[in-house]
Amino acid sequence: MKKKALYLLKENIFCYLDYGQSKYQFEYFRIAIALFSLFNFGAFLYDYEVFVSPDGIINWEVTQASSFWFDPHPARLANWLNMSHETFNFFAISLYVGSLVLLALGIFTRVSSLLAFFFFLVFSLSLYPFLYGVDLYQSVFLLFLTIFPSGYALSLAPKKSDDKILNQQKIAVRGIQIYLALTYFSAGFGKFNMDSWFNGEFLYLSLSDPTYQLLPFTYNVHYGFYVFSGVLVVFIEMFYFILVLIPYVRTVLIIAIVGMHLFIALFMGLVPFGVLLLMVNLVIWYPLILTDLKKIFKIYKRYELAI
Amino acid sequence: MNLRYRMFVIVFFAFQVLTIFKLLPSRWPLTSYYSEVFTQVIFTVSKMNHLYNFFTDPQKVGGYGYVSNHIYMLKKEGDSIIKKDVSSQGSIKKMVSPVNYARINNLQVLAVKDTLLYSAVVRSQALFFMRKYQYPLMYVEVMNHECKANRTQTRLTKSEKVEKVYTNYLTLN
Repeated sequence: MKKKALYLLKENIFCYLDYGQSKYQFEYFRIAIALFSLFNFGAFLYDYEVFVSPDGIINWEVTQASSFWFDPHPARLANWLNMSHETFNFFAISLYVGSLVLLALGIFTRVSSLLAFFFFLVFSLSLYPFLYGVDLYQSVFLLFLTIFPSGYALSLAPKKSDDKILNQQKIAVRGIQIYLALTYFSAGFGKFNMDSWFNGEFLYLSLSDPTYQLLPFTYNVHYGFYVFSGVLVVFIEMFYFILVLIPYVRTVLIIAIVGMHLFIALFMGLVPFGVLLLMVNLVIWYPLILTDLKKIFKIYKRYELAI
Repeated sequence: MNLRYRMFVIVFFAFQVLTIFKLLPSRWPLTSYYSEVFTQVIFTVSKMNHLYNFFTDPQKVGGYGYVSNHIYMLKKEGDSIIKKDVSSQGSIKKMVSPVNYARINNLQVLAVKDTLLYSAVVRSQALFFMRKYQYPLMYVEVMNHECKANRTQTRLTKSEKVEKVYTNYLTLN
């Protein structure tokens, strides 16, 4: 007992590092984040004229004026390199997309993750009036990919990953697991302080907000639906960090979280946000979910044999 | 080596927890100019001073609001004024693909959140629309909608208090 307490004290958030982790989980995470980043930036590029062009709906002069002198704003970098804004934009887009493709393929992952993170920062300075929570998450996930080793086994040019590398990757996965739990807690805590999340008002009004909804939620449902959904969202966000540790309950939790993010993507129009959180939840917790599902399947088989 | 990685994670989360409980200032009162720059760089790179309360606005406890935007381009042809509506349902979202609706919606919210930035943004918008549609004049009207949900038996209905927060005519001249 004393030994266990000492171990928990010494290892703190890194105790039982193997629990709920699979061998190449951080590499799956790398692939998921690289693919998501391509999708997210691809959506910006699809509306290039509005968002990414130097003469877009918010031109570079405006965003540069509100940046610090040391920020790597694209206009500042273009002037520094003595390039036209359009030429620099073309090179920056090519390098950002190229680095993300390399990152997804697991080639030169340290360099490609650094480049991807740098160009993400560059573009986020010119696109910042359009950014919201999803970009914050993406930035942190890319930061984790620059710090930790991520390209070994699941790569077009595979290298041998030893126990040391695998341990470092496990630290990264544990970090992301805690990060998710913290951010959900923070979001849930914020909602907990708002009465409108408990009487269904906030959910009802945000679903009927015409300015950003993707699919209109026009169903004239009972008000209890909004009350129940609001309370459920606050509950699962606030207690995510506990629920995710309880066998079987965590499977239900992840299904609920996936449902919530699908709902956000479809009816609140926050498609990249919904897609990223859905992907990350699945990649970060899949070993635990698979363990649960295998056990459920075994119990079902035993029950079937018995009858 | 593992220790360094562990230290990174621990320091990162220490700052996250401080941020959540609002114990971390957005800027530290450092006397040295370069140490302030250093802090800003660290915060920019790590996003350690950001809150994660999406879909919540503690300033509006118990209420919900949104901002709508109506933009018209105007030009004179002969004796008549031609008007082109570039907004739809109180948003300029029809300018972009559905996946980017929420991003473009951020712009109009600036009118009530950061008026200084919004005045620069609206001028940039005007330049963009004038160049795109070849109209010399843009009219913009931003409305703030304070919403309330009312319960009638088993259903909820919405009532809104609409207030004009910004209106302007913009031209190149």
